[in-house]
Amino acid sequence: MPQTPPFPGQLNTGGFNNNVYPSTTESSPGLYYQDNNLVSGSLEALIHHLVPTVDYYPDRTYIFTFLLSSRLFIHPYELMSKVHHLCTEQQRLGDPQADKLRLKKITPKILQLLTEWTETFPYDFRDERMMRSLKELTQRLTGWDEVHKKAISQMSQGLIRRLTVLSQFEEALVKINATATERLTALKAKPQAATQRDLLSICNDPFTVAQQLTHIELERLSYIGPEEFVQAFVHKDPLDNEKNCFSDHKKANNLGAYVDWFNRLSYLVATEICMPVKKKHRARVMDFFIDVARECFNIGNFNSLMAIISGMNMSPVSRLRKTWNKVKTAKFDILEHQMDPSSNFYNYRTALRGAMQRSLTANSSREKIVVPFFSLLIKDIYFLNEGCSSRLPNGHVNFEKFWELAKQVSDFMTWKQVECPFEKDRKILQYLLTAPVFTEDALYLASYESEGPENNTEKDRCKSLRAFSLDFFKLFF
Amino acid sequence: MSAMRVDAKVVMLGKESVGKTSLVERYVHHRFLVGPYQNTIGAAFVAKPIQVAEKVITLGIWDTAGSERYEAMSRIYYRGARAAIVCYDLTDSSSFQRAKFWVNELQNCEEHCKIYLCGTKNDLIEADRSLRQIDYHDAQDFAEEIGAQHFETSSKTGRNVATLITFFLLFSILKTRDCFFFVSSEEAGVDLGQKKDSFFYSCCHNN
Repeated sequence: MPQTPPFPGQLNTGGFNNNVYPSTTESSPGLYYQDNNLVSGSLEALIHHLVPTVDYYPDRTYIFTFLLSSRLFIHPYELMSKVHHLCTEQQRLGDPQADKLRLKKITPKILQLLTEWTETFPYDFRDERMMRSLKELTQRLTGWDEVHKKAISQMSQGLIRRLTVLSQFEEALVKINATATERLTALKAKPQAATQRDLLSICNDPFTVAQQLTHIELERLSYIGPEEFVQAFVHKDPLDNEKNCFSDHKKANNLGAYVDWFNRLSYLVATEICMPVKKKHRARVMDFFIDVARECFNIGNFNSLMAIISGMNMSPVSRLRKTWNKVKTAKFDILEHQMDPSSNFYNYRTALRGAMQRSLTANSSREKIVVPFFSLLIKDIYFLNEGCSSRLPNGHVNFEKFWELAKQVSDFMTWKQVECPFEKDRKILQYLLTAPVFTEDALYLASYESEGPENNTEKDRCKSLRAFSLDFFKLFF
Repeated sequence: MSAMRVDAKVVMLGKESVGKTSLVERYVHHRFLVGPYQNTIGAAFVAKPIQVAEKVITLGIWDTAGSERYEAMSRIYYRGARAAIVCYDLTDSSSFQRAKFWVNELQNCEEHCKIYLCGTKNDLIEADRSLRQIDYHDAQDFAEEIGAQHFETSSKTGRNVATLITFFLLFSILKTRDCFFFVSSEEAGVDLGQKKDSFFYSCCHNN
């Protein structure tokens, strides 16, 4: 899939040299700079700054940053219609008197802008109003120059392909969830079957399982649109609450699906550990997941690593003292140390930088893999948004905030483009994605069955859980 | 940010958008979401050094905001916490249910963790009493039942914010050090922004 070259190097290098004041005379008033960096501006001026003219084209970092963050203030379709308007007005497109040479110069630039928009934020175009605007604008452009017809059709085809792939992914997710529910229902009807299936009976090689987990991570990651990070907190901004830009249900929620996957993996790990009746078997499952987690760490798949650690830390698992005694915990301690929340995940952040470095100098596609511990990425972005206001007291957009936001999101853009080099194993993938998992209560019950309650709190809890559910398997998800 | 020695860990728990972050912001930065741009990467964890007599205690405050949907993660965050500030929004009854859930979790898994129940957004109630969904006495009863301290705070006005943290400090210090006098709890509760962070006077100290 042809993608606009990714953003690393543009935003990640520290100095934001790309935002220097444009050398042309076309720069709009109402933009404020500090040390050559754009720091704030009125929304109108920023929109002007996005639109190319005969001798000006915005730098790509700006385009990405503004398209990403402008949605906090203005719906993408409104922005598109303003861009449309500006292109038409300024360049007198559609005016038969227009200078042909001028059009020749400006048209490829407008096309370039639209191409970047459709490639980086394709989900914006699920809105018919966006599509309509795009069509109108491109029709105007082709109306005057046949040469650009090919470029426009390439752009449209690329966009349609991206949107189709997205719909297919959404359908696949629905199917996966339906299968998971079906398997759960089947299990409830015939609980005896439950003990016959577990991950180890499908694959007992931790390396393979780690690779399949990485498949799932990279696939889910790749569908998350950069704008989803902004959508996630848009309703919480009290200053810009007057109109909720994201009430339309066509927005993608692949970010939510990715969070669900993390929770699922944690619960799956806890389920696999709590289910076996024999202590020896439980210990074996723990050892196995520790090896899977370690391989995830080596691959650079920090998200699965953290999900496994979380699963093993869930109370129903952590309380299994006798089982833990049989497990070689030294390996696990090292992994926990790597992902220790202390000092805001200092150790993990160091390891992540290491993985990013390896990715930059990779000799193999395997070395390119960086799957971040996603909860922390969301949290960092959340705090970036909470910590400073989007508008300055004079009503101008606080663009410094958005450079920082774009920097965070552009790291993610780099990571999500990595192709997973491992061979897919359908059977394992299917199991990981659809195997029934216990609820918290069922985990506790299973845990008490394995190692009896030890104190009064546990005894009470156990009693009430048992009384509450005569049928143990009612407690599945 | 560099690794910093932390003497006591406090974790903030509560439903999405109950105002956990505002509470931390209020306490640590004496502000309520105004002020100039600053780099907040790392704000999820705040190390707040506090002068207690001639000792400095560093509080590690863990804010779980922004990651509430990662249910499976919660234990990683509250593990080993000396205190938990469980927040609920006074104007949102579902957030109180969620607070009860957290209290239950903590009682099960972290028996040594002291719980502080904190109703947020009191300023909204003061502006319009009909917005209140959680009765003060109901919450107070619940707090007594679980042996927790209970506060109604406003990060906007600063009401009770310092008192809340002060109580926590008192507890954590009494546990670790020998004995301290708590000299000015009433004053301290008014507005932290105008006072020094020194509420304690030590009467005896061995270490």
